[in-house]
Formats: sequence, structure tokens, C-alpha cells
Amino acid sequence: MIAHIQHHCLGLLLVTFGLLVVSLTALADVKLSGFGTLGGAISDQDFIYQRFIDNSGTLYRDSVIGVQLDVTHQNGWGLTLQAKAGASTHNDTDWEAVLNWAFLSWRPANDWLLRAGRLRLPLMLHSANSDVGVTFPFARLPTELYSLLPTVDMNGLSVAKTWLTETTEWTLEGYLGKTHADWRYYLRDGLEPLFPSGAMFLAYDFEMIGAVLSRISERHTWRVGIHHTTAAWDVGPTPIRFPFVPLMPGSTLGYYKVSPELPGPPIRYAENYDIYLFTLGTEIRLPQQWQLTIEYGRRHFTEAVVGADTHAGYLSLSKHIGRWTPYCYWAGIRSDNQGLNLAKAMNRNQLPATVPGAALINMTQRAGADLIDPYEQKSLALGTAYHLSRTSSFKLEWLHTRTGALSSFVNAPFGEDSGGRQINVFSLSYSHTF
Amino acid sequence: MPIFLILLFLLVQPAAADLSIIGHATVPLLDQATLQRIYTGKTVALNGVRLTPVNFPPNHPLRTQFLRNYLERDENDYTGYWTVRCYVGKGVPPQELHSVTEVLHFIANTAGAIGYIDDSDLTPEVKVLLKK
Repeated sequence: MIAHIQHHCLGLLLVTFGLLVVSLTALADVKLSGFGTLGGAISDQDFIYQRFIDNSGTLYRDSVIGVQLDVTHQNGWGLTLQAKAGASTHNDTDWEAVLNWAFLSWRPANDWLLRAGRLRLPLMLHSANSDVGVTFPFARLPTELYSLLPTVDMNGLSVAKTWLTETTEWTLEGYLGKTHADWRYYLRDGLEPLFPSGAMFLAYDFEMIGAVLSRISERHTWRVGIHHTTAAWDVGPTPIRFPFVPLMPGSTLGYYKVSPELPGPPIRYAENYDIYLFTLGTEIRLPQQWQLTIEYGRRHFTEAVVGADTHAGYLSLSKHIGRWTPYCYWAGIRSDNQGLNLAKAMNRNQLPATVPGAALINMTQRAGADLIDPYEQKSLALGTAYHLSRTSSFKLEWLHTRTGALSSFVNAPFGEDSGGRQINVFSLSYSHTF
Repeated sequence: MPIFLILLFLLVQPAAADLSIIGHATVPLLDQATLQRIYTGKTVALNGVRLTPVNFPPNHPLRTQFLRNYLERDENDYTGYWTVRCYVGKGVPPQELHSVTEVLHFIANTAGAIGYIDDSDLTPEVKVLLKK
């Protein structure tokens, strides 16, 4: 709560300061722009995928609208505010309006850019412009990779230094900041009274620091980043290891203690998750208007054994043909072996009905597997963008996803698994900027 | 016959205007590479002078010619570049002015201002920075 108030106060301060800047000077250039996507998606499955998509169709997954105000002064100072409305990040039912950006910028010289306020992290190639559909050809950015963190917005500082050569632009950007965001989990069976079944959003305080080096030439873009994040759960220490409790000494028959109410040795907790992110991306322009894009992201939890400890990436090939940009991509995500194996072991761990309390314990095992947040899936997408102009485009996509053992992108029905699924998603969207 | 048609085609083509890159008296002379960096937001100051480039609106004939001859881009490419740059929070495109009179007035009265104009509209109040 306090964090929420702090964030709102910061936003208010920036807006006030910005208005002051505008009112004090006649030399400021004010630019108002906007963006929006109306996107529909429907799958061939009756369970929900990527929070919203099932066989009844949804506009929630991809639709977004936003406005941006840029005030720039001739002396190098600037103010940027961006607000958007889209699917809530706190539940799966509402729309909400949020202030994405509210930062002051300063270009003291050609090669320096300093920004302070509410900023967007430069995680992946399109993280900063992920809401602006006309800036990339895909109907939606590959979820496998573009879900490394529950938010890419933070309150903090960013410093960028650029080196220009005759043909190449090198930029090193460092940042430091904090934010408060919800991490979404989906529990098939629930773990009452702490965690009811269904989607739940656990609030975390994130502290972030990182650096990104990019190299841009006429034909190529390369980007590599290293980021460190601590995520502290709002309600207290975070469980990082769930001990296995054998029913008899030496027996493989037993259960993972995922709730403190269950008998057995204590669950191991930490004050926060300690997360390292490594990101690598490239866009390569090939002859005949072909373009190859490859991005990879590693999310590593240093102490916790969780499924969110992942490797993810995608490879895409696209080609500009007049107004059309047909594309295909292959994307994948897989939890690190330790986390995935634990989730699989928990998920299949079922005590025989003859054991007293077996039904309840079995339920906790599936809930535990869901709480570990495991991922194993691959997707293939075929689609095209049709550019009405440089500021508006239609997109059409077929996405085929296969889940491995388990995937937290799938809301598995009660008593069933998220693994072993095949999902076809058809998407149609219209994106515009003005 | 083909030669005749080519000659006819050339004769009926509207004559392209001769553009000059102009600026306030405080702006130093430019080369093309520097001009390209200024209009893509990579260079914001020269010799301690803060620069304020101005453009005509999209699809204005002078802008089309400027983009092609000096920036070596087309309108789609240039607009696309600034759309991305704007929405990653790295700046905004040059201010747009709608008439030659506005451009001349702005440049003559704004330190660091840069623009472009047809040679026939040049006045002594502005400085020619580059001419191809």
C-alpha cells in the first residue's frame, strides 16, 4: 500500500514539475501522440491460454490504447508522459489505465541521455515499445520471451552514453530503480485458505539494476543486457525450497511440504527472490528485404528452486513485399531442469487413497506444482502484417503451441494438467499511431 | 521512337526544386553526414550551439525531396524510424512548420535553428549551411 502511494506521489510530482516546465517557457515544443491496437484472438480449446484466449474469443489479450505527451525544450530538457489503458495486471477481468512513463530527460550533449522518473526497462528489443503494434510485424510479441518479468516499468534513473562512428552507433545504457507489481499464478486446485483456486496475483516489490549494450548499423542491430532484480513478497518471506516428507524413513512414498500446516521439517524461506536476467537480441537485414530476428533471455533465480528459472527465446524470419510483411517465428521456453523436475515430481505425486488425508495432501501437491510456476512449451507462428501506411497496419496470425510437461501460460482445468496440450490461436488486429 | 518517348517523358516531368539547407547565423556549416544525424536526433548540438531542426509536414514536396536527396530515406522509412524512437522514449521528431514563410521566420529568429528551402525563396536573414 505504502509503495502504491509512493508511486502515485512520484507521478504527481513529475506531472506538476512538467506542467511547471511547460508554463515557464515559451521555447518548449509540445507534441501529443497516441497509439492503439484493437486485437481479437480465438483458440480451438475450451481452456484459457495466455490469460484470456479460449474458443469463445477475446479482445482483452491484445487490445490497448495510449497517449503520449512529449515536451522538449531547446536547452536539452524534456518531459515525457505516457498513459495507456489495457488489460489489468492485477486481475484477469478488468481493464485499467496506468501511467507507463512519467520521466524527465536531459541531453547535456550529443552522446549523453539522462532520464529520471517512471521508465520502461530496456530488456528485450521491443520491450520499450511493446504496446505500439505498428513498430513490429508480429500480431503479438512472443509470450515465451516477453514475459521475463511481470512488469517492465520502474521508478528510477537511466543513463545512456552513445559513441558514433561513421557507420555504427554504440550505446551503453545503465539503469537503477524500483517498482511494485503483481506476479500472476494459476492454481487448478487451490491451497485453502492461503491460496484459493484460479488466477491469483501476488504483489512483489522489485528493485532493479542493469546495463544494456547495443550496436546499431545500417543493416544490423545487436543488443546484450545483464540485469539484477530482487523481488520481495508483500506479505513476508518467500518460500524457496519445499522439503520432501517420506511417510516412512527411507520410503519414496511421501509428499512435498508446500504448506506450513503439513507435518514435516520446515519450509525454507528467503527475504526475497534474487533474480539475474541475461538478454541477447539481434535483428539482421538480409538481401532481398528479408530480416532475421533472434532473441534469447535467461532468467535465473540464485537460491530458489522454481519453475520460473527459465531459458526462453525465439527466431523469426520476415520479408518486406510492398505493403506486406509476412513472417514466421519459432519460440520456446523451458524451466531449468531443477525447477521443472521438482514441478513434475510434485504434480505427479499422488498418495494412495488408503493414506489418511490423501485427498487433501494430493491437492496440495498439484497446487505446489502450480506455485512453482513451471514452463515447457514451443510455439510456431505464421502471420503477416499489411501496412496501410507507416502509422497503421492490419495483422493476421496463426499460432500453434505445444506444451511439454507443464506450462503456466495455460489455465489447466480442475484436476487436469497444463502439459501435453496443443493449442491453435488465430489472431486479427489493427494497430494505429497518430 | 523509344528515344522520342524518353525525351517527351523528361520534358513533361515537373522540374525538381533546388534545395538549400539553411540555418540561423549561429549554426556552423554542415556536411551531409552531420545533417543526417541532426534530423535523426543523434546530434543535438554543434560547437556548443543547441540545434533545433524543422521539417515540412509529411508528403510536402520539399520534404520528400529533402529526405531523398539529403537523408537518403523515403517518407515511410523516416516516419517509421521516428515512430520507434518516440515510443522507446528517446526523443521526438523535428518540429513541423507548414509554410515557407514560417520556416524563414523561425530560422531567422531562433538560435540553432536549421531547415531547408527552395533556392528561389532564400533571403539574406538566413545562412546557407549546405548545398548539394
